Amino acid sequence: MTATNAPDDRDPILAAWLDEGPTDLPDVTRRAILTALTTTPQARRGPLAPWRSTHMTMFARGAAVLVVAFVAIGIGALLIGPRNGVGGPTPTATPTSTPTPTTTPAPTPLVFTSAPYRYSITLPTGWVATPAHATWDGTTAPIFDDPVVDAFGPAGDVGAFVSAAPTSSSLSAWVADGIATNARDHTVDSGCSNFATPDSVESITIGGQPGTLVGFKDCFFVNMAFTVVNGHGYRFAFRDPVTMDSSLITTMLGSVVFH
Amino acid sequence: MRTRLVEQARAGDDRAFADLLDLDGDRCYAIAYRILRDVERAQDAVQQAFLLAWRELPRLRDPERFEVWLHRLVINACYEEFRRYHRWSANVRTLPVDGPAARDEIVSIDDRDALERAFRTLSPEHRAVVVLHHHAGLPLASIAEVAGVPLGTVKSRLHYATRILRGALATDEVEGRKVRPA
Repeated sequence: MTATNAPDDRDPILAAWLDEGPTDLPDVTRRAILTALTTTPQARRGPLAPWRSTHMTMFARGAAVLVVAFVAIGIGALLIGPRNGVGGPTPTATPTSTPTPTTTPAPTPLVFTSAPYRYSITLPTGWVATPAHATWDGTTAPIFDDPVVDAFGPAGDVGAFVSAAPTSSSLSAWVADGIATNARDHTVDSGCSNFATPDSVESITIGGQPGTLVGFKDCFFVNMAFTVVNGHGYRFAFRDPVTMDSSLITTMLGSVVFH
Repeated sequence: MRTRLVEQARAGDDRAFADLLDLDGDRCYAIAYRILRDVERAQDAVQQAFLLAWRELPRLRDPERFEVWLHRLVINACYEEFRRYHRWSANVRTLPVDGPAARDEIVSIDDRDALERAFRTLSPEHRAVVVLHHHAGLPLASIAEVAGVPLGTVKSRLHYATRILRGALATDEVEGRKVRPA
């Protein structure tokens, strides 16, 4: 501790002055918070996490149903889809019947194109896109509901979001700036304290361009990917540490096309 | 008790969250007011912090860390309010309302005025460290955890801020408006 941090006879005055002022949260604020809860959805919880509460709001019930449906669809896709992996069940020759025409077309992945940010990306099946309706200037670290990001995810949720801004930086400088800006803006609300020091930094390819994938183990933002293309710096953020696994991130980044 | 409420609120129980608001709301508001020195801004910051807490609570992995995490949200909300306030507003001075009077006249009018002026020169990051240390009584290591900065940064901020605030009191002494005991 420095000398100035040592106790001083003026400190009681300082403490007494700080103690002055209101100490009770006004009822109007308390009511405003509780009222807003009904219109503020909670972030999606990882599908592997336990649900312990015996009392659930209507939103929580709905979210639970969505999660179960999402998992069921995923398992179904794994069981029904082609399996080329080692160790999977060996396909058996079964008689094929004539396919019955169906009125419900199979869901196809959505290809989202951003004119302002000059890229396209293929989204996982069932995901929807919410385009940015403002332009990022590159000096902030926008979060998933920021108007400057293209946000992607299952309906009602966001799993990934993208923003881009003109830059003259090299890739390494863009990455360093992105990490620093993110630490500056989000260390406090991230739930972790190591935002300035990623757990992993990996060279990758994003849409055929050199990029960098930055990983954080225990933060709400589990990964961010950066690249610089045609004088634009891109920031891809992946939000959920459970559902946004590395293979999904790799697939999404590999699908990117820059215009 | 708090941990159980956190687990329930994390699963979407808004009644449990209301209980958490009852437990922690006053303390958060007191901290926010003392950082921002403005009643309405403090209310906004606390509201913003609690709604963010509600929204992101399912992602909080360790319920035992809720209190630290909530304090971080409050501090961060204060930073945002401070910057928004200073961007759009002139220096509007809001005096404390409905608070307790000075304890036994420890703080004179001159002291109060000097401290108020000096405190307003500090950044929100410096203010937060002062409030968490001198008002909330948190040890420096806990402040580092709440603020999400290294311990050395906390010490440095506290050193700087304390020097400014003590200096404000000392200035009065030099100007002869106040005589302090040694």
